[in-house]
Amino acid sequence: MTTTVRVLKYELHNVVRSRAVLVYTLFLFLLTDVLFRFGGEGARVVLSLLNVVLLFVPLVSVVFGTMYVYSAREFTELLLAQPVGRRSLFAGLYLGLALPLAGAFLLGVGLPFAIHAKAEAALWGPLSMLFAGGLLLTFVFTAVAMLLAILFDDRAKGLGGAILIWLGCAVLYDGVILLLITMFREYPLERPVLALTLLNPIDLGRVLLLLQFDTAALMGYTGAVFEKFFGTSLGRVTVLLALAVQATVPLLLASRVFRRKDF
Amino acid sequence: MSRLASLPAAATLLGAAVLACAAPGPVPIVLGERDCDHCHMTIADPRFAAELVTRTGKVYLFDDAGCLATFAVNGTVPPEQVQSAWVNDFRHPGTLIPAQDAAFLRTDAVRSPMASNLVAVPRSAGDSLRAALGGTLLDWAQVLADARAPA
Amino acid sequence: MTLRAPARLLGGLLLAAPAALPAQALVVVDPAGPVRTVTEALARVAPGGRINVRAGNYSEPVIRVAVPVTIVGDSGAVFVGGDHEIFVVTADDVTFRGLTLRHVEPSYVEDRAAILFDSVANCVVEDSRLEGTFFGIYLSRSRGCRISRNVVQGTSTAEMSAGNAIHLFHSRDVTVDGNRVTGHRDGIYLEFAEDARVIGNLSTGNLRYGLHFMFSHRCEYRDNRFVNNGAGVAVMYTRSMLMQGNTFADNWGAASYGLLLKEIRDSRILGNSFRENTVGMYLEGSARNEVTGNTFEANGWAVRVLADAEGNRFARNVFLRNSFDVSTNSRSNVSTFRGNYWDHYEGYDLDHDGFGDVPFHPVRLFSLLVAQHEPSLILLRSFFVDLLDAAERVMPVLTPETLRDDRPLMRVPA
Repeated sequence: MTTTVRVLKYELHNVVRSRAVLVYTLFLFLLTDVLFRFGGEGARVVLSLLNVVLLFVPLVSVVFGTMYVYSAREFTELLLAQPVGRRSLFAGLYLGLALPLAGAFLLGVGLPFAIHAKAEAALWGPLSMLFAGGLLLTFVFTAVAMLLAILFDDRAKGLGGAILIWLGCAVLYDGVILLLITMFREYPLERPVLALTLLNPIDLGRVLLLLQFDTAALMGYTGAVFEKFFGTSLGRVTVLLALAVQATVPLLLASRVFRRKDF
Repeated sequence: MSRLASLPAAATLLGAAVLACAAPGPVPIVLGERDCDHCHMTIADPRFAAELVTRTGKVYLFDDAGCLATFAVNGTVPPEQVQSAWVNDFRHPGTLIPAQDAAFLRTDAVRSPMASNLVAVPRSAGDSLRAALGGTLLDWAQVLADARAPA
Repeated sequence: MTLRAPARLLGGLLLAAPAALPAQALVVVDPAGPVRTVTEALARVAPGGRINVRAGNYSEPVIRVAVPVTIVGDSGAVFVGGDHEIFVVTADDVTFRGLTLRHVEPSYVEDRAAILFDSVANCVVEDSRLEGTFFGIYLSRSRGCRISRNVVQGTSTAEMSAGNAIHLFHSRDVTVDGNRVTGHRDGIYLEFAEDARVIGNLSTGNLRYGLHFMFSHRCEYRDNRFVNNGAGVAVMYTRSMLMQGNTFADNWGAASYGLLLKEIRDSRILGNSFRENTVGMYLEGSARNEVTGNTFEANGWAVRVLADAEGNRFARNVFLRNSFDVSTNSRSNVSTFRGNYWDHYEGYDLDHDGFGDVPFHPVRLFSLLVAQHEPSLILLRSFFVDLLDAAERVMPVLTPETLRDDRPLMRVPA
């Protein structure tokens, strides 16, 4: 455990100092701030941030994460030469990557809200969903980054994989859904589509966030089916479970590979 | 990578799941929440609401048995794709009965949402309903025939 | 002068011994008076006379009004129904004013109303209150009537069958103005009604429609407000309508819209305001309608026009902050949009004639997809869909090429 903390400390130090995280924080801050100055009230800013959070956060998490794990390769190998448990080293590496990125997101988006937004009760739902979504996406995609960087020794392959996975989740997946919807038009699709949405963290984040707004009505009967599902305790448990699976499966895989890997 | 690779597999699975778990059947109707799939009016009167279920498990809702009949004959869903048709028991709104087993009374005593003025009851109750309200008793085949060739 | 005192004396005698005496021009109904029920008063009143109802609760069997009469309630005059109508009117020239009518139980078989006019002319209901009545005011086969400034308040819930607040059936030349109707199935329903005027009413919180026309030709409705109903207004199977200056707002829900037009011909929709509805205006099977000078603001879908709608003309309308401006279900289109203001328009006006120099295509690919495959709604605001929309805008292959505004306004028209 102490090893984890020590590695984590070192990593934190390292990552936080890295210019990329600073730029990331600043970018989020400026964007949110500008949205407030032009868009006005809180709920609309949250809605405008939707696509940023859904696209940008996973992209940065997975690409920066992969790059970072590669650059920490020598340091990792150095530590592995010491009597250090691989499990704790892995935990330290992951947390040292995910926590600064999560912090950057919280700070970059949170500060403008603290400065500009009025404390309205109506804002809490969408806002907490925005933060929960952003944080979970950070943890899911840094886990994926870890897996990729450990799986492939070739950096180009790892980076390519990172971008491919991002592209798949953010763009292609929805294309596949659309294709299925047109292919199986004769079937009642509300529930299968719901199930498909649960499998992709970006889609899940998008739908959960949209349901927080009255634009949910635009989703018609399909949206109503979703609202009902997420309103039940079974629905909530399923969502939490889905997110947990999406974060832990790549992480467990990565940890497994890491422990057996011959560096 | 693995996630991407598993996409087609997931899709196939999903398709299979849809086919398998679709035990097609009618659904409960919540008033004021859905549009009639034929006339697009909001369904707000449980006495006249009706449903059509396809073999693939898709459910169409209607605010009037007349809309159901017109929809059933206009070919949007080919007849061989129809699994079942359901109407509300006029005396017990909320209780669905198969259209085939229903007696339909066309009567001026009651105004249905799309003015078909058709009310449905289980076949055994048809005569007593006609005695109470007056009008013409029809069976489902006759209702469909009327919809095919409107008077 | 000398005659007056004996006349009054005579009047008193009449009240004491009602039978076989001449009808009176004025009868007073009072819980403590000699005449305690309206039924009794109707037996005494002269045709064209007046019944004055003092404050108090009246619970009578169905009151049948078969003579021309004016029934006026003092404030606090309350009629309580039950499992039957309160008034059934079969005579011409009957007026109700200032009454309060309460509690008519729902029925699955009959359209039970607080006041039913059956085959009459020139009836009036004004300044009255109806509370918790299944149907409120019901005109059947009547003409030349006026329903003004009433409050009709129902208690509809999704679980129970509800009636309509004001219902016109096979009636002609009726004016419905200044009423407030709420909590019913439809606020105001006209079925086979012709030449009706519906003006300045407020219709809110009804389960189905604020206002509903079926097979009702040559009617007009102006300056009404339809707020927060299941859906705003449905106009179906009707021609030659005028819809002007109305507000359709907050009809927000999965299956909700401000105005539904089905099989409407040769009608004019002028200067209305559609605000925050899931769908502002929905047109199906409608032809040759003129849609001019309306404002569509902050709706989900401002206008949904199905391909079977023909020759409708949209001009000088203002589209602001709608998620989707125009949606349709096919690549073919026969409606024209010309000279509207679109806040999504990104063109320019080099010759400064007030019109954009490049056409505006208000249909987005996504709205077309949704119209054809409803479950694709789940991709709302998805990045993939945004990409598709952008690609389609550059090179339209699926959205209707003819559905475009060649002369988009650069400014909101005054």
